[in-house]
Amino acid sequence: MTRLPIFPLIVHCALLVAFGCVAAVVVNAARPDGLPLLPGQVPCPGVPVAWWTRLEHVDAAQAYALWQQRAAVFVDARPHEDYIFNHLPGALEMPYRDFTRAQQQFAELLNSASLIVIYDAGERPCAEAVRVSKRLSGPRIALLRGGYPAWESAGYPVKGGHDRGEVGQTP
Amino acid sequence: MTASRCTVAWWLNLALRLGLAVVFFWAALDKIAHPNRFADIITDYQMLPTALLNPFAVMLPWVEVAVAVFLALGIWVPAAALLASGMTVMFMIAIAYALAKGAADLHCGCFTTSAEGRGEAWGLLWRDAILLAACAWLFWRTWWVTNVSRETSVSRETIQEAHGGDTRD
Repeated sequence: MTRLPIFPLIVHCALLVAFGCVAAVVVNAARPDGLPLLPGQVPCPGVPVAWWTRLEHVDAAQAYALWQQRAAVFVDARPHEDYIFNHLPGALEMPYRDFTRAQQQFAELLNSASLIVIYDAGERPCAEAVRVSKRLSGPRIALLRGGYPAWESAGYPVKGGHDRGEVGQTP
Repeated sequence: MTASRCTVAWWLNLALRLGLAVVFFWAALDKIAHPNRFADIITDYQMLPTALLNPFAVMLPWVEVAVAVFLALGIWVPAAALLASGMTVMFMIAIAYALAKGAADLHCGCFTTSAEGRGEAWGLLWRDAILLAACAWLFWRTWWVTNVSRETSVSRETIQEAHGGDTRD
């Protein structure tokens, strides 16, 4: 009858997992963009506390005022089809899935912006707008509360079809 | 004949250990660099409760690193190979779950967290199946075969002692 040493194997597996977890917690605590490990600190997963506290929120009326004054660059984080159907006039198309290409194309505009307002479809609180916001760097970044539907339902101008903010178009 | 077979098995074990160590270390690097993006990817699988997403995104890559380091150093190889197998099975279940929900093209988060790093789900499953075969084989060689052969040699010695050194058993 063969007796296999199962207990040492389990202990070694547990220790390996423990080494990994301890290293993860230590490094995560040391880095400035570490994620909150306890629930309830940030409502969206994958968002560092420092980033979330820096993020601003604007409603549709505030966004419209910024749009009129040309005081902000607007970023559309929805998929390409939604952008082509309708978007904020002058908004840059930066879908999450094609982000790198869009970022390269609009680098100059984004780098010179004092405020970037990002919107998505507004269906979920932690969707594309939050994800795109994490990948942008700028002095001030804001999310449009309620996303595109909030803007449209307030009766503010929209634009359909191709625009100079579309990925692949010359800005 | 037996000696050459042992040598081949030894070299195969070494190659698999180092190969798997490189694969798991490489897989962990980008996830460690961008835990927030990796959290987004595992959120899309919709398999974990929200409270576990961040801890999972932070800890999984470091467990991969621990497995890679121990495989490379040749310490606790059966445990490292077993954990590697377990993680690969977990990845396959996640991909199969996404596939069952109709996501034929998905971002698995396997080696890159870049938003453009998407792949065809069936291809990812096959790749993981090959990885699982390698991990399972290494575990089988280093734990099962080693322990069974040790038990067998101990039994032979016991029988020899009982027969007063006579090997005609």
